[in-house]
Amino acid sequence: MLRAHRLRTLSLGLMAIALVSAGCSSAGSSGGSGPAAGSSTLVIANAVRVDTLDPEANSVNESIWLDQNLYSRLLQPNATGTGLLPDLATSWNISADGLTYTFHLRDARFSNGSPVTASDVVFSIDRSRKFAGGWGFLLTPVKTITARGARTVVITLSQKHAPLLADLAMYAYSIVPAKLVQSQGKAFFAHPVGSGPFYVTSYNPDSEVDLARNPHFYGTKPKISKIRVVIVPNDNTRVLMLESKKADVIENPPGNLTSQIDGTPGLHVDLFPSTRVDFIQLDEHYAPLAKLAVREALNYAIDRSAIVKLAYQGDAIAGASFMPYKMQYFDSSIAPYPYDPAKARQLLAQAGYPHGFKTFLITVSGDIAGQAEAVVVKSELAQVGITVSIQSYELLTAYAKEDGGHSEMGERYWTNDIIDPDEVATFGADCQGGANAFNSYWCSTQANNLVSQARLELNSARRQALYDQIQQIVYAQSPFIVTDYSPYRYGVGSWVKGFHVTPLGNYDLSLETLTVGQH
Amino acid sequence: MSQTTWATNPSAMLLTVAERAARRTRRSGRRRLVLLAGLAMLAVAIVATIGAPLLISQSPTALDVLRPLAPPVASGHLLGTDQYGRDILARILYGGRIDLAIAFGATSVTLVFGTVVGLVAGYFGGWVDNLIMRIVDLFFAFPFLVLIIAIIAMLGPSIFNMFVAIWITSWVSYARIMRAQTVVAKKQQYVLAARALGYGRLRVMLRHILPNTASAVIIFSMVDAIGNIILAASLGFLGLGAQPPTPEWGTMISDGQSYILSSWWIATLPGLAIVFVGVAFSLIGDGLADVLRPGDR
Amino acid sequence: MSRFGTLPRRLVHLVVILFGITLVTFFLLRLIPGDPALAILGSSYTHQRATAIDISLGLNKPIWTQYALFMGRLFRGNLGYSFFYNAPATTVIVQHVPPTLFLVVYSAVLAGLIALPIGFISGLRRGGVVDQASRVFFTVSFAMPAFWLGIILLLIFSVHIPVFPISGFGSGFAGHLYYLFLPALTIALGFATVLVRSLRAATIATLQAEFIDTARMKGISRARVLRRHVFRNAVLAVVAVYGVNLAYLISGTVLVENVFSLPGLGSLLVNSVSDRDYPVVQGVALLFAVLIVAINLLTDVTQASLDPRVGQEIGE
Repeated sequence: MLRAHRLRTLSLGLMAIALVSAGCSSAGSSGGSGPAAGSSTLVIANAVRVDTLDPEANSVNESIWLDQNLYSRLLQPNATGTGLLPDLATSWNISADGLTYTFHLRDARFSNGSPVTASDVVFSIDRSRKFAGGWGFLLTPVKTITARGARTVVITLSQKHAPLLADLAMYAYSIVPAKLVQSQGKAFFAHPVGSGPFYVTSYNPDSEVDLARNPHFYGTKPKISKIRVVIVPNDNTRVLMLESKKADVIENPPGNLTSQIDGTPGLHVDLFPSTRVDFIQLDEHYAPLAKLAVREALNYAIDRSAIVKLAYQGDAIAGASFMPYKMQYFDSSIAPYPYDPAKARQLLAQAGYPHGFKTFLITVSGDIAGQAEAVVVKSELAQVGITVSIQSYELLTAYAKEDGGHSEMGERYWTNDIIDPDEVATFGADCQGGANAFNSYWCSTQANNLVSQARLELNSARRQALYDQIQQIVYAQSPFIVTDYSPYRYGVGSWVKGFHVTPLGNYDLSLETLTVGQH
Repeated sequence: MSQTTWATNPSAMLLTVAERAARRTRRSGRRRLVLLAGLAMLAVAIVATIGAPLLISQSPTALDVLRPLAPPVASGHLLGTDQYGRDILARILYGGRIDLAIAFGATSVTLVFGTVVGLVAGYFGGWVDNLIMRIVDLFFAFPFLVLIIAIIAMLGPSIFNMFVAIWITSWVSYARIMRAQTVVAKKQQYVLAARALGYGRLRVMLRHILPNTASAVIIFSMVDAIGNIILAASLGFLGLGAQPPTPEWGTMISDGQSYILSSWWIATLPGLAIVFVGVAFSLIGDGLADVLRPGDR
Repeated sequence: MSRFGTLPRRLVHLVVILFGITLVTFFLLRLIPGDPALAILGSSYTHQRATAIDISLGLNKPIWTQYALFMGRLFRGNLGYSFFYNAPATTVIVQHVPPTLFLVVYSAVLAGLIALPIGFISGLRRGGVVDQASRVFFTVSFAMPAFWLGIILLLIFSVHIPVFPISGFGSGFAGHLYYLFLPALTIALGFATVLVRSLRAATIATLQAEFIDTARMKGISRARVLRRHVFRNAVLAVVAVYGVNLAYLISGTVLVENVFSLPGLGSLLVNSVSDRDYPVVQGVALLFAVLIVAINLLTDVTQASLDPRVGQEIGE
């Protein structure tokens, strides 16, 4: 009896101590995770772990957006995502034949104080375009990149290349210090040195990345001196962090909590227009989908407003053109297909499917909006006689099944990496572009030629006309069904002023002027 | 009782022994009650899920876009609705079919297969035993979640493939238990006698060893049933189980997770259903343990 | 048969199992649809870019060549390079060990603190209040899926009554104890159920054994009887339970780590499978296997040293 008695007292005592000390630390401090009261630290909660800080190798969006704060590029996208601003290059000249670009660099420094030179620029761009499977394919027409002195970079092309400036503004072509990367190799990126507004002070890719203000940054000195990027994969936990003010900004709160967050005093949800285009992939290897009339029917049979309402809580925009709606050369005259099930049935009968047909729709498990959309699509297509069975797979399995040429219908989306339409046109409209027109295996020689032409056309009015044509063709032929354009969603505390995300997803520009108030 | 009482009062000691015996009988009566309670709960679950169409009129998959996220009772839906307006009570009852099917279907197959393998390994010994137990060790050491994710990624998520994944990974516990039991049993008097009488090996295994050792695996199977339901729910939670719009308790919890802060009932109620069935199996296991192995408790 | 004579044999078994694990993991991973190139390129996938990536990662070579290269590196202690993190797989894995290790040990200790007194008392006072109440409590808690229980605990103790932090690992030993209390409790409750049962059964069985009555009649004090026999058998039972379940526990932390956003081995494993980061998955699977087999071995050796009868069976 004695022993059990002692054990019991001992265990109760230990538990009591644990609880008391827990209570003490929660009362006495901010629990070790709250920001300093005041305005010098911004805490952002991301949903996904960071893969790397090496701009040539980044493949995770959130890491890309983080990197933008650390490095500069020759140019950078502006806040509306429709134009370019100078970054390291203050000015540039383009030769009359469009084959030589001369960039004049500003007097900038890396976070360790050393100057950014033209050879750093040459090294960085060359390194990135040679990276296996990287973004070098965007710069195929580039013949040479040379440094002329310390402040001038010259790029020569083998043919005209309209997207060049937009390509160079891309995150993959961030400028890194040549000597350090050459001597340290991959280890450099565990504590990188860049010329952006912030630099990394602590790097834990799965839990937290801390940034501090770069004292040598050439631009406006940011009002905040520190940034903490915390990685919180669980959706609810992120929302809880915002509600308890442990985070100032959270990425991607679940759509159904938007009204709850908005209703909480001191918090709100910001929706930022993005370059994301949600679409339903159609594989023309499946006989019915090879017929234009069937694809048209699908467009009329699907009520985009129902998808917007159920999958995106009304926060998306019905999709028309295959190009993102916040970019240059977007054709706003194209209107979304109207919801017309009667017309859909007519078209199906015309195509030889008066009783519809059976098909499957691949979705990604865990994609809440996608699952909701699938449910809507299934019930709407049932009304015109098409039986859809929803197949849900884990992300990469879904992609692998959708891309192999053995698919039928599948949910996918596109986001731009550059502000120029060349990228989306190559992937979506050009069957020779490498992606088989978003894996539809649809082919139009006319569209292919237009895409190649538009890439060479430096005059913006003529380019607009070419892209208008491409968009019209894709709209009429509908190799895939464009459902909607969905925004980036962020939960933000009202004590944060000036947080802004560009359509590409970058927020680094806004961090230069953002303030964090008392909370 | 103090030390002196024992030594000086033997009749008191005899009384204590008798008391103890009486207490044991009373307790076994109570244990039988436990077994009955468990069986009753399970029966309720089975009847409710199979007889769902007779009990409620709502369909588990009918969308009611006008009334999503309706709270329980107040809205006319006893357990509320989910994000598409589907009735939660209906989804729990229909979804229960899948989880109960897993509890029975997956467990019974692994029980039989694992028991046979363990019996063979334990009885024959030697290289057969070695080989089988090394394979069992391999399965034990392998992170089962990777195995299951891989199996389902390859075969595609579906209810049947959930069964397959569970069959492939869960038989090993039974094999281990059965083998340990068989090793001890084959040295027992009754087995040696049977062999001496000339009974064939198969007959000895099935007619003599199995009935005397089966209690361990049967009791374990109750625990395993709970584990399999939770495993199925976990797979549903990870998105590897039943496909939308088929209801299943784990998928419902996973879907409801995003709504836990605003509409708690979507994720909480299916969890309670799992607990209900789990408790039922626990009670059956406890009750069986006493019936099959009196005196152990 | 000497209990320590079987040790070399067990070590040989260990090597065989580890070899089997590497083989199965290696080939199983490559059977899953979608490969590292697709993981890296996502929606900007083109065949050309994918081929370039495959070549740079060595994935274009015949599969047996890849396996041979992998095993060759493994023997030299090199687990390869993580495709996702662009860092050595060993470094990545080591970074993820602390949260999981802390969580597992913490859960095991919490489970013991809960289960030992309750199990013991339940066994000593069968049918008493503690016994009845704990049976009800643990029957119910055992049937709860860990991820569901975690969510509920989080809701109650981090949201509605904000006692504990919502997520993360914290810093410093006390910080870890504080941050990991809820996740450890979630796991401990399931673990404690089995512990309580075994302990209770072991206590009862020992108390009922004839030699106890004999000892008492001989005049040995109750306390001494408890100390020498009951307690010892209880520890034996507990060691067995810990051994079997600890192994299962390690890979079972995955879902709990997800709910509480803990960057441990479980999360790493799930993420790496999703991202087709082959070297990391192979490394973690191997680590788990080593741990599980080592724990099994340790359990068996401890049991054998505590109870000679058990030692004989290990030799089988």
